[in-house]
Amino acid sequence: MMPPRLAQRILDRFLAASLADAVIGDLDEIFAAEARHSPRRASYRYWRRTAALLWHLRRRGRASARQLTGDRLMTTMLRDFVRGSRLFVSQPAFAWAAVVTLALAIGANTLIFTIANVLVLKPLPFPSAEMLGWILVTMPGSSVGRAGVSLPEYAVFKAEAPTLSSLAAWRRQTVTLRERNESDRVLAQLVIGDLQGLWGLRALRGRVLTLADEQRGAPRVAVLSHRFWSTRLGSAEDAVGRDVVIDGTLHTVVGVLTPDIELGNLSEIDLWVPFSGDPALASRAERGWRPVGRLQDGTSHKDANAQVTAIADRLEREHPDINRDWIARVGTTREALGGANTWIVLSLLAVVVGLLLLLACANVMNLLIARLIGRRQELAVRTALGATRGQVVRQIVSESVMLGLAGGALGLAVAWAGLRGIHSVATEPFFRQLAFDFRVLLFAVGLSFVAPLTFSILPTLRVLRDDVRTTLSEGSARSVGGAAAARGRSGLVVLQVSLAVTLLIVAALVVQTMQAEVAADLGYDPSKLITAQIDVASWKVKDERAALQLRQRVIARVKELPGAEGAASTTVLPALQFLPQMPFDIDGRQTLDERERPNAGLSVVSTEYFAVVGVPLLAGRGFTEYDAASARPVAVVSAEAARRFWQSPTDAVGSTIRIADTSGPPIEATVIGVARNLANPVIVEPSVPTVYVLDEHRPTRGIHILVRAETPAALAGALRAAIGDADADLPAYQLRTLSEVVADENSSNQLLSGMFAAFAVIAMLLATAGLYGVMSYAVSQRSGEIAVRMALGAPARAIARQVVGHSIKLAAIGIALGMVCAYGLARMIGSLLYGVTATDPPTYVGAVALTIVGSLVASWLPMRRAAGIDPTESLRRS
Amino acid sequence: MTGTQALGEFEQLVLLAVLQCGGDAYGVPVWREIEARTAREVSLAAVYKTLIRLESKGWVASGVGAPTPERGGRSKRVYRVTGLGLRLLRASLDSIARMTEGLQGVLEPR
Repeated sequence: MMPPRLAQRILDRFLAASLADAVIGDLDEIFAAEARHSPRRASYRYWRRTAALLWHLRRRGRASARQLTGDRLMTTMLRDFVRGSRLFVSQPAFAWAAVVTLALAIGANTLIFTIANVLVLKPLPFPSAEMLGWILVTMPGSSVGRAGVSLPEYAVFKAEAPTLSSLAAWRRQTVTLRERNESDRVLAQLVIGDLQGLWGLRALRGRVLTLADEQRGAPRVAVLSHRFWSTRLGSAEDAVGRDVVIDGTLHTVVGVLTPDIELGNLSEIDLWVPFSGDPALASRAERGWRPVGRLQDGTSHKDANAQVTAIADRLEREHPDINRDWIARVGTTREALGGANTWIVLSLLAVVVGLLLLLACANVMNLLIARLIGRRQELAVRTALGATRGQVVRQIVSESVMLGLAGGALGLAVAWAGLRGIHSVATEPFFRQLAFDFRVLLFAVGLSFVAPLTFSILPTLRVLRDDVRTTLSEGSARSVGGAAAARGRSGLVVLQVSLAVTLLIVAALVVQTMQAEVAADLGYDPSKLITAQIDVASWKVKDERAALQLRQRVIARVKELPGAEGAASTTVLPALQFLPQMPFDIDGRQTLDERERPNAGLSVVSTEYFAVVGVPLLAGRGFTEYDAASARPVAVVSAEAARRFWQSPTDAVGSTIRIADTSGPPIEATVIGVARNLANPVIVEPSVPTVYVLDEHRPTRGIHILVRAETPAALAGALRAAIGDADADLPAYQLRTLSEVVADENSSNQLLSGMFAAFAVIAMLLATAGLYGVMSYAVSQRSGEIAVRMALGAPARAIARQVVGHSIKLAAIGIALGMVCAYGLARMIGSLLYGVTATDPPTYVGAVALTIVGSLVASWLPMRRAAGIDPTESLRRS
Repeated sequence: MTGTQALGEFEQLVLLAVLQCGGDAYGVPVWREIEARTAREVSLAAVYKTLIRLESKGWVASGVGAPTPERGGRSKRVYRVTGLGLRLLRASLDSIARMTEGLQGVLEPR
């Protein structure tokens, strides 16, 4: 039996150094003698003597404390700080458990805050952001994301939607830029109308674009982005006034923009040029133009929206071939800058990490309460010594704040690691833009203070309620923290389990949705393919025939590369890019109702396309050299097209279709085969009906070259060189393996799934730890009772069952509550779910099973301890 | 100068107890001596408080004594009565003795 170490430590701290050793030695000596009769009584007396000694000899301590004047507040704070940090030395296990718990939760919250920071809090780069109305075009039910309008439609909106004044539009276009004999593909923002004036952009050098630059016959000008100017031109002072060649046309640089607008996908833009009137971009099928206007004074987004949707409805009736299923509406600047599902996902993430923080606080609170129960006598002694309750509370709070700050510091490190992880896997420019700034730091520091205040409230109230005298005279630490405390802690555990179950179910539903999108079958194996894009520009090769020959020359060269098993070209990467939609007629039947007219995506390919990509033909045959050489166009249709527009694949073969090509004369082609469907990994709807025609029969300029090889990545350098050899002025860009393209396509989904899964795992771990804490405490408290039962003949199995039963009972209540919460939350995000329903039974069953396993694990050790209690030993001790 | 320096009753007891303990007068035996001989409950804290006061007046002096196992290896603070303390104690006991002269009949237990 050892003398109480805590009392020794207190004496050591509060008595003069010259005296402490002698006094403690005396107490120990008396204790040793008394413990022979009754250890409990000896321990109790030790504490009473300690209290008395401190009471009588404390003056010294007080006097020396008073000498620590100076700035009194600072001194007190410093002392609280020092006292708080001693926790890490005196009770490292407790302190670290609390700090790590908090760090995980604060880190998760900080990480999500960096996302919200960019989306919500950062001031918008446009001075007149509130007054802008953005026409947003989407196709509900598909994940195509946002599209735009065609130029003819833009003209209609401009003429007929007066609520949006000075309507302007822009589109993205990759162009070839030659500057001082270096040519490169860069991203240009083509501008119609006074876009830069509307957005309130400012020039760092020179000027911005104006309406005058758009006039016919005006000199061709370009404005550079700050990023492009600083990285590519080395911030050259003489940049303004330089001549650059864009797609073969001489342009003069007239300005450089300020860097503050480089936010979101605006940061990708290299240069801004007024639209030159290229007819290829002006057709009705080119819906790449994004309109934006200033709201007329006194009108709201709602007014503008009513006008725009009415016009869009009319356009859909007039041109169902092109406008079917597209919805246009007017959005705010924030909506326009974020993606379509961004807000739902962000709020969901915020809810998830909020719950996680709550869970962590509950855990730390549980630890604190357990510790306080152990410390009751120390606290009682201090109160007896004249410490006011305020001082005791202050100590608890200062310790909690220390834990919070340490948790916050470590949490920042966690968030930073998370951010690094995001940067390394994310391809969307939005994610690359996430960074720590002072707002993020402020948020983390704020949480570090708020969290400890939250979890120290309950323990503090308990201390305030405690009666010191009863605690002291109770004498034994065993009987304290009775039924009420146990109930409180059990309540916390129920809360934790329910939070964990909620998080687990919701996260599982979201992860399943995202994985379903990722796992959607492409219809071919991308792992053996590499791709590069080339554009045979019309400013360079005027003749379509010559352009075709140039493309064929490139493909022939690429095919000869060592390691290449085949090469083909396509206008659209298989299943990865959006197909331009074209209406067509079958066998001369004219459909009266435009809505009934067959409509399919058009993909222009070379003869070996199906073989190179590995798409099997289900009926008929594929393209041959003979087809290419023939003047009579032929077509291959996808299984989905055959199913929709013919009764069966065999019916499709042999019929003639007439494709109303929006960028040229109609193509009349004989269907020679039916190819298997492809599916886009993020477009989550039935496969798009597709028509394939040959390069030779449909003039085209930009193509993706696809090369099949055993190790496609190894071919990258040779592929670029081969394309360069074929024509020195033909830059290859977007050179990537198809696996990379697919991974990029999926990266946001994978990233978000990963985050949800990680948060759910953390939640489960925290809940399990909380349950473990409560169970082991319950066992230690009831060891006397258990010993009596065992002495009376209860088998160890019965004891174990009792412990586990208690744990399962708590878990069961938590699970029930959690399932209800999860169901509510899942219903709210129902529109986001794909491939899984809000009530998906396997998800719920899995989450419940996992929680039960967790609670069994949590009660395993305490159960072993309970079953291993030696009745005689335990009873003698108590 | 010592005229005003009278010993309190408990101070007398502590001084006497220190003398009783001989060379090994530290907290525990001093406290035991008083409890055993006076048959009253005395707190260790009171003993120490008095010893500290006596030491501050120069009536006892202390030194560090050898540790023992039952003390968990902690050293003792061993007290002895100084010459000044002894003189005062004598004076104090003398006055008691003079005051009790002729009262044996009243004070002696029958």
